[in-house]
Amino acid sequence: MMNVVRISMAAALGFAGFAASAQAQSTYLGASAARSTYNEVSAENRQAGFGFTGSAGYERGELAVEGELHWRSLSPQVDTRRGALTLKAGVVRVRYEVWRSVDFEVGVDSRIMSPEFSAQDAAVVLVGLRHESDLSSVASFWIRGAAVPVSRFNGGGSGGVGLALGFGVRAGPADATWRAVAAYDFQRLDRTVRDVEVPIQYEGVRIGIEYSVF
Amino acid sequence: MNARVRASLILFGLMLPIGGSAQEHPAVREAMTAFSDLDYGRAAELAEQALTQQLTVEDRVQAYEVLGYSFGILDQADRAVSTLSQLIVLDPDREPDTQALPPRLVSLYNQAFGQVLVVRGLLVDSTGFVSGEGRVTLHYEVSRPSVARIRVVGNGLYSVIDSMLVNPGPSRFDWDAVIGGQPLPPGDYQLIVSAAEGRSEYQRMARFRVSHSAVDTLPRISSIEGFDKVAESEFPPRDWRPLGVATLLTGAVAGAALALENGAFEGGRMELNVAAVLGVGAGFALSLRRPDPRPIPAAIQLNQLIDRTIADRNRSIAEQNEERRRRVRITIVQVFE
Repeated sequence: MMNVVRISMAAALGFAGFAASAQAQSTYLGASAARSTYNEVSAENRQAGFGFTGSAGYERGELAVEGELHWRSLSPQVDTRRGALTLKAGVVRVRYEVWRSVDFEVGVDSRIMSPEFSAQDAAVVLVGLRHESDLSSVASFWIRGAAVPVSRFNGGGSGGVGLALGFGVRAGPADATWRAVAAYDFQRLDRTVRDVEVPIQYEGVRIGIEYSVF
Repeated sequence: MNARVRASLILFGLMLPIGGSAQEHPAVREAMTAFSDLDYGRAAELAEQALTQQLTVEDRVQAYEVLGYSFGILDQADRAVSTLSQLIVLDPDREPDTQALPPRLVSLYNQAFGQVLVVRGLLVDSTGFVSGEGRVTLHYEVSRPSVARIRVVGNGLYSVIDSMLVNPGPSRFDWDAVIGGQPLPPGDYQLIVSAAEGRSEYQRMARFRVSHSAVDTLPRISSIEGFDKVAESEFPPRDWRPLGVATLLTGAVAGAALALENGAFEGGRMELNVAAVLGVGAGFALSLRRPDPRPIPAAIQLNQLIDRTIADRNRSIAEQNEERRRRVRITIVQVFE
């Protein structure tokens, strides 16, 4: 499983080099403040907290690649006897426009929780669709929905077919190199271990800016 | 002398255009005095005597005039015509004062004018024009049917510019001031008009000055009168589409998230609430924002047409200016000495 994590991290970090060497392209870098809620097994284990997200994206024609690195400091919301968690995650998504602003999207989301085994590390594969609509000449709104057909956990078990949803808005002055961005992500994994349900649910919101590199 | 002529002379005698001056020869002055005293016989006698002496051209003209008019008054028509003919040859531009002289004398003068070949009234109209686009008018008058030849001489040039058969009376000739395909160079020139009838020939000369200057060029245009450019875009009315789209998409995802969440984790909706407020708020703000201007294709096409027309005209003006820079503006002024 750690291999999956390392691969996704390397893909995200290597993205900048790939983008820099490309031609006729659009590339951005972004930074956001974020809040996330992490649930595992039951609501009593709910953890929530703030953190940061760094992002980068590259577009060329119908093809686009984006990567995100997340860091969250979570604390228990119900049972305060439980210890705090730190969440680190890397996400890489590749999409291709198939029909009128509707993209086919695949991605990898790898999440590491610390201290180890205080919550499940997970690595999942996302397969779904994304649609982005222009609200005006200075703003756009996107939604995405994906199935999670493959998932791995450091505590073992299987995830079945999970679900990931998201939406966001991006707006900035016309012809400016920067823009504001707000995004929401939801992920549900129905993990079972030896026929015992130990579900995981994650949701997060982030608000930040993106800067067009070229 | 017949009684009517005498009566006319009594009335008009003092107004005869024969006046004395300090430069006159004494013999001529005596003749003119006799003429003024209505002593025409003596005036004729004194004028004839004066003409045998060395006289200036002006004195000779005055003497012929006294003699010719005296013969006319004394009813010696043939001698009067003959004398006035010599006067006309000497000074063709001298014309009888029809207001002061009795009609009989004017008639004798005209009779004499028709018997000799002279050119008179030679004038060059002062003018200015762009070479190749204008002409200068030359005026002259011949006394008899003849072949008139017009020449321009001076500044190293000698050119016959016209030759034609003309009838008595005023004639005019419009000349483009071009010789050998080139505009007449600046300088002083003589215009010589020769009239020839058989073996008789008479010529007159007038001086004129030619100067050159640059031709004014046409200014470029930046607009076409009556065809103003119009705005190529307009602001559409307020549009609530951004709010509608944002609300619809936010609602769809939020509804899906609520519907599909795991029942074991109910509660805690902060992230979804914040995101929903941001999504709908963004749509609302964009709907309140002044809409972006949208292009008006017809206006764009009209402006492009105007621009093309202006460009075409400026191209044409540039070509005309190029041609004008190769030309010169000629100014012609007659010089009187």
